[in-house]
Amino acid sequence: MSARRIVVRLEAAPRGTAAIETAVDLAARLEAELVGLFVEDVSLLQWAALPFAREIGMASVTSRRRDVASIERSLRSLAEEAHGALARIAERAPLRWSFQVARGSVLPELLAAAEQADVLVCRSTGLEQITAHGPADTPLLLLRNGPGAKTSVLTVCTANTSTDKAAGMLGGLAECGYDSLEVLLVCEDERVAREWEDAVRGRLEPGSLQKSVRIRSVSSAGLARLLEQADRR
Amino acid sequence: MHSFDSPISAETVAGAPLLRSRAEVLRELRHDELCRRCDPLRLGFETTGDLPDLDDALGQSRAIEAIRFGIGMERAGYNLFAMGPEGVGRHTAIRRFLEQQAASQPVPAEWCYVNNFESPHKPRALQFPAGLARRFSGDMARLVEDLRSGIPAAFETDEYRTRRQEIETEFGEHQETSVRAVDERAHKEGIVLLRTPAGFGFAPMRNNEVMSPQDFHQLPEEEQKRLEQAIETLQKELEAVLHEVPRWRREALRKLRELNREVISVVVNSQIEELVSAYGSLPHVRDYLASVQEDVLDHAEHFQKPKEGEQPMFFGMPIPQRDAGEAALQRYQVNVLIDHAGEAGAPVIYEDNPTHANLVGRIEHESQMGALVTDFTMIKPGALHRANGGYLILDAVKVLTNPLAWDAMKRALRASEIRIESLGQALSLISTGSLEPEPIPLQLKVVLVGQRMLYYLLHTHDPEFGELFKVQVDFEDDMERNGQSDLQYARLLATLARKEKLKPFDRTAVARIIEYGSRAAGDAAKLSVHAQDLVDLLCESDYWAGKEGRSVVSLADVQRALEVKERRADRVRARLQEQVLRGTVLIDSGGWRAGQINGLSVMQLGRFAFGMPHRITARVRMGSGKVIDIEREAQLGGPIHSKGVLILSGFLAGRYAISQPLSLSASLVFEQSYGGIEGDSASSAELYALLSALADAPIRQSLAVTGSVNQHGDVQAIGGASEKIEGFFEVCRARGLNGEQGVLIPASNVKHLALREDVVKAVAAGQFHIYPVATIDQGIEILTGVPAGERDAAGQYPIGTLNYLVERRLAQFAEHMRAMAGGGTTRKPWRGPKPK
Repeated sequence: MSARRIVVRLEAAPRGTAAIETAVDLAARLEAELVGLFVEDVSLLQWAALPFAREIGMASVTSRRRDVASIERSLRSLAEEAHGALARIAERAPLRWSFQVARGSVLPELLAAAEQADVLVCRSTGLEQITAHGPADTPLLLLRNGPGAKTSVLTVCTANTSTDKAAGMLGGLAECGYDSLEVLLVCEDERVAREWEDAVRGRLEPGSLQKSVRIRSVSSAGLARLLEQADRR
Repeated sequence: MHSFDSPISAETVAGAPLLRSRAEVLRELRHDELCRRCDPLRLGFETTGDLPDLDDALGQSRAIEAIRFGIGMERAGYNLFAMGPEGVGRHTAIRRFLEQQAASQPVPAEWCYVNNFESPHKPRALQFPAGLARRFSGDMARLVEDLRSGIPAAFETDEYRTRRQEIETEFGEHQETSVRAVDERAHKEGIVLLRTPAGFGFAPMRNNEVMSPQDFHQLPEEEQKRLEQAIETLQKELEAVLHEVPRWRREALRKLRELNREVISVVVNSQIEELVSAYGSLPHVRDYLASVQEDVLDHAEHFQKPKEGEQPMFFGMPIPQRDAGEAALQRYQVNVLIDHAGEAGAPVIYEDNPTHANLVGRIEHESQMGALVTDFTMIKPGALHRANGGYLILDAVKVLTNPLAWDAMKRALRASEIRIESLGQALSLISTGSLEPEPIPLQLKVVLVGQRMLYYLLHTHDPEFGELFKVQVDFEDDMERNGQSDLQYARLLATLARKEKLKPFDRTAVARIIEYGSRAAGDAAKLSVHAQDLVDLLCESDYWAGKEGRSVVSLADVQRALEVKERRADRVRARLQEQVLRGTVLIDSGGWRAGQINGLSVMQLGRFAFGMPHRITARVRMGSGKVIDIEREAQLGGPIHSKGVLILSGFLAGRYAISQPLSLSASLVFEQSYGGIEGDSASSAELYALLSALADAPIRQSLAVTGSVNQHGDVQAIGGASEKIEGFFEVCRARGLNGEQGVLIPASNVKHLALREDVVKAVAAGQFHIYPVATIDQGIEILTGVPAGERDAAGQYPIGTLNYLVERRLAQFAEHMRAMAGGGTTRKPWRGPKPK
């Protein structure tokens, strides 16, 4: 099967660059349309509307008053930056791409976008509670910080995830040069998990790809812990 | 009105019997005294092919002794200044001796510049025995290559990755735990920690979501205050945590660096140890390798070959780097400044263009983003570096005319070290970043080659010169000519011919060139050692021999070369002679005239000199004792010429007016001379003209005169006697030789004569005469045919002699002056001796 639509979460550079590059690479391999999604976190706007909202700078460690207008400006600026980064990277490959901005809570917005897609690509940071919202039938491709400047990918699926989509994505990743592909299957029922794995492997091409794919069952809490650990790096 | 009519008429004194009788008394030169011939039969060889090469520079024994002394003298300041005219072979002689000496000397040390890791703007100089510098450079390049594979391999090991992960995790956990602790405390207060675009923010929470402003305002006022206070407290706590983050990061980086050192030290140490064992005998190289070792351990990231434009990161933060990629590894390069690999002996360097940079070296720059940058790899050597440990030959005038080159060379010699300094930097012309390379010790001999004038000027005006160039190598212009020297000269010609790859010269050709050597020296007893002149003549003779299809150069070829060369250069002489012959320039070569004489001058046009006659006239009248030099008055006469004229006054006063005022006003002029006149070689001719005018005794215009005179009337030697004689001979021959024509020359110039064959033949045939003259009296007798006369016991000149006539005329002038001054009645008029 070939993917039709890949959604990538856009964040401000340089954090979001690796996700865009991976998504562009994958979309080009699978001949899929790429959609860049920038989510304006509504909770930030609510926070900024509070009379005592103050932001402590990560680098400057100084506190300053923020209001809704200034946060909206910041978000617009970040969206423009992310758009520019997507355009710059996407132009390197022959593919169709588009850019979208959504306002709302991050996880629901991502999952909503994922429902219309074959793969969702994003950084692992802040996604610890994703299973609570229950990913639908779309596989989730998470990018993790590796040692040094390296980035690794982690595929998260549930028993509801389409095995066609999962197998298609794994095939695309293999073509992109990933020689070790780890799939975390959020499922506590071993039998269901085994059936899902068999179904996926049955759709994978025989040969080296079968060996490079490792499917592991985890609980929701276990996934949250793994993502927390990745987040710390 | 007084009459000053001459007591003798021109007809009386110009009688041929009287003239001939005087000429018989005054010897004229025989034809064999006019040119010292070289007999080919006495040379004792057939062609120059039979002669061995000449080892030493011929006729330069003084210079050679000086060179040997200068080369052997090992003390400071004993540098050489080789002086003499261009073309005498100074460079060749100096170079030959230096190369002979250098061949027996050891090959000097080699020098490299390397990075100074403590102060990069002060590169270090490393000294190596000959042949090792290039090897060390290669070894360092290999070391870097090995480390570029060895260090990344060490970083790829499981141990390294695990330990690095631990450090990164520890840092991440430390940061996350601290922030999470704040977050947890916030949760207890019903507050959530938000990640904002630029940092963190706290907000009250409801149902695990940020409380809306409407909900917040619906809260009881106390609750609102509590939440605000709690948020304020949490903000302070978070600020405290975030303040610690940089410190934790520094600590993590320190641990990472230590880890890097530990992991790569095995690779680095083993590689460096190999170099230390190879070069450990050189202490400064060992020190350098130790600093390389430390630097590599501290900067292992340089060897990790990051992708272009990608910066090594640590926990998402770029690791600070001064340089990146290949550029960073340049710091370990070795700039081999001087490499003597494969050479034998000490260097002998001639720097043809001794600019400041070419002498002391330079620091190049390259443009990066519009700025000029440099490093130790861009240091380039100068001639002083290349000649260090050996010899450096420089043209003095070139060093002196290149800005600051002279000062830079003296500075290096005085300090015995080469300090490379950018000229722009030294003059504060540019302010871009530059280097201060460590000076290199200097030990060499400098040989300056220049004109004598330069040597004396430098000695006078530069106090340092005498201290730095103590050995004066003075090359001769010519050498003594004797039987032995003719053969030596032939060997010189043979050596030059072989060096120039010319055909052999037969002995007739050699004999002619020897005669030419005498002529070029301006002295029959000397031979010119102007090697360049000789080489030119040899080459041109060889050319004409080739044209004639001869395999051996003969007399005819040499003669033709000389004639053709003269023909090429004599356009001006031909034009001047043409003007004389056509009567445009008035020169008499026959007849008699008082107060008029043919003087002779030499014109030097480039390397070609020729003589020409000039009409000199004198007019006299009563006056205040001045002899007016019209050339000087018109500013056409040089100081030496003026001096010669002033001497005439001294002669006249001393001889004829001891006890009375010299009441003479005379004027002297070179007729039809529109250029400058210099030299005193015409002063005797001027005196003859003056005496002739005073005595009203006509002068034979078939004679020409050269020679200077002193106050006692002695005729003194002059230069260019041969050319002057030939100049008058040309005019006479063109008009027809009649046996009356000739030239008076100073007797002291006879030994200098090297006349052309045609002149010699004319003299031999009695068609032309050359009279050697020692005194004015001898000369005036030949010219006027009137005896000069000597004072008798009573102190009087005999009546009718020329001196009598001159003295009487001057006395008449004096009497007349007195008469005009005091009424003319106080003293008796002058009376000469009664005629017998």
